Amino acid sequence: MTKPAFLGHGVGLRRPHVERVLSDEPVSVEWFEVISENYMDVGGRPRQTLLSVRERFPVVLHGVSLSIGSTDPLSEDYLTHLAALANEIEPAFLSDHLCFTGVGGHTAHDLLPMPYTEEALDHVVSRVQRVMERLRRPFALENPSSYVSFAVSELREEEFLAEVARRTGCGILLDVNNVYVSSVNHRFDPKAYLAALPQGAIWQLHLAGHSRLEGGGGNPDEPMLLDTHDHEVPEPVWELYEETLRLFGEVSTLVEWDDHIPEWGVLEAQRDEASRRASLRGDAGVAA
Amino acid sequence: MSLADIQKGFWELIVAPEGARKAERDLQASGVLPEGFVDAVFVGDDRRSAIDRVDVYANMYFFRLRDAIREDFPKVALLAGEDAWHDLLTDYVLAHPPVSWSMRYAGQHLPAFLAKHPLAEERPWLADLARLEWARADAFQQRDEPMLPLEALSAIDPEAWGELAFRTAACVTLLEADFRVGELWVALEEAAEPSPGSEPEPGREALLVFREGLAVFHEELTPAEARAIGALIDGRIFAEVCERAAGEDTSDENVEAAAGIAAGALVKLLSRGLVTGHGA
Repeated sequence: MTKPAFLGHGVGLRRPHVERVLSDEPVSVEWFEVISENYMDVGGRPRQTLLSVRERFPVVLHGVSLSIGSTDPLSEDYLTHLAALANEIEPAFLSDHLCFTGVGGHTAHDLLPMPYTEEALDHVVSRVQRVMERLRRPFALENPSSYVSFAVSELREEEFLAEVARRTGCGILLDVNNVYVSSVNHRFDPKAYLAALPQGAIWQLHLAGHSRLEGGGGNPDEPMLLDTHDHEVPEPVWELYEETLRLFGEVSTLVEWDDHIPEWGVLEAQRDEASRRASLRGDAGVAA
Repeated sequence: MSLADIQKGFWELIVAPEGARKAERDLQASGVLPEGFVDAVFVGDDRRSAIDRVDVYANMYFFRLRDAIREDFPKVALLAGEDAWHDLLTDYVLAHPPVSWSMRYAGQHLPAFLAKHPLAEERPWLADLARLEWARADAFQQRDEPMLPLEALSAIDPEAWGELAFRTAACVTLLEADFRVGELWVALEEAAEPSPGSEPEPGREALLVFREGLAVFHEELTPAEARAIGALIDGRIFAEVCERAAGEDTSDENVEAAAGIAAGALVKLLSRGLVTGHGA
């Protein structure tokens, strides 16, 4: 599927910022990502807010409940409501996560990691194809952050993701913070991860902050990390972002902040920093 | 091991009430998990063992739900107190693990669950407050529907009224409480610093909970109004709405007054945009 147009630098739309975003005061943000499920099969203020934002900005629908990796059947009810929302909102594209959120008819409302086996690869590929047939719109999968890996995995995550993209034509929503968090938690080289991803398949970047996972053993100077989206983007993630830009060039980029949500100006400044670092790089460093 | 077996085992470990480490022992003892499942499937290191890494997800499962459900029941959580709320949600999530892709339904069984929970023996009014908070949260985001304009009543043949039923909007709830939780809700909402020790006055209270425009309201009804609106919500024909409004008193005077109450109840719903259609 054709890579969607470059959207610029945006932020995730969160409730405390809606009034500011819809005010007459200008914002530097060029686009918004919204959590799809917050607007599926709902009316009232949430729906009105989304329609108002969409009137002014491009929007990407970012899901958390598709459960693409689950061995439960894909939810037709979910896909029906997602397709209806997409038809109303006309998003630039849709995305969700490479994970499962539940099994046996239950859901954790969490992004649970999955083993990267050949069986899992075939399973995810067939389900992504089904989702794309159903939505008939550009669709991207995001690399998750994780705190446990699988002894039974046969592929590395980046290989798995690249193969899903190659076989289905879906895009990759590359969460730079997730790559960093997982690289610390599982002790791999994040730059090697990035280098293994396919040119042209990276449709969007996520940037966010994270926290230390307290407790546990080992060297206290090498803590595990939690993907909490409750801080400013830390310098190691900015550096990995710059490496990502060097490898993949101009990519629509979004700053996420989901907990301990700051004043609008703080979030907007993070978005401006993403834009600044991108403009410093230009496209000069794009790999051939 | 198949993907399905791995996911099922992972799931069982993270939803257990006392953490993944105890769950591993219990599930192996009961034969739900094969011996050595965790070490065969997951990877640990010197910082955290495989089971302790799985336990990160077990903690997140519970805390995420506890905190998300609190958003729909902020006043119940405040008045229950942090420890009691934690215990209630521990029991609730175990009894009602989420089944919907939408987080908005995660707390839908909490009012009924709370009514039978030990917490309700100490503070029985908490269940009524939970029902009110749930009705308000539901109304806030219920689907938008085209409303029947008030003027549509004038087009109805007077002879047809008795057999006519009306459809009310999905954002309308009639709530009949044993405690005056509507008043309590308002007092908590208006207080600069809501007191965790607040309690409602005893006494029955019938509340109409609804969304008008984008805002959610609740409004106290008289007993006769509540009976009429209950019948309208149930989709009863208008003759039955009048009968319900009249209640047990079948005197001519009361029946006539009840017809006026029923008509007033219908107009109340129509004027707030809460009637979506009608039909025989």
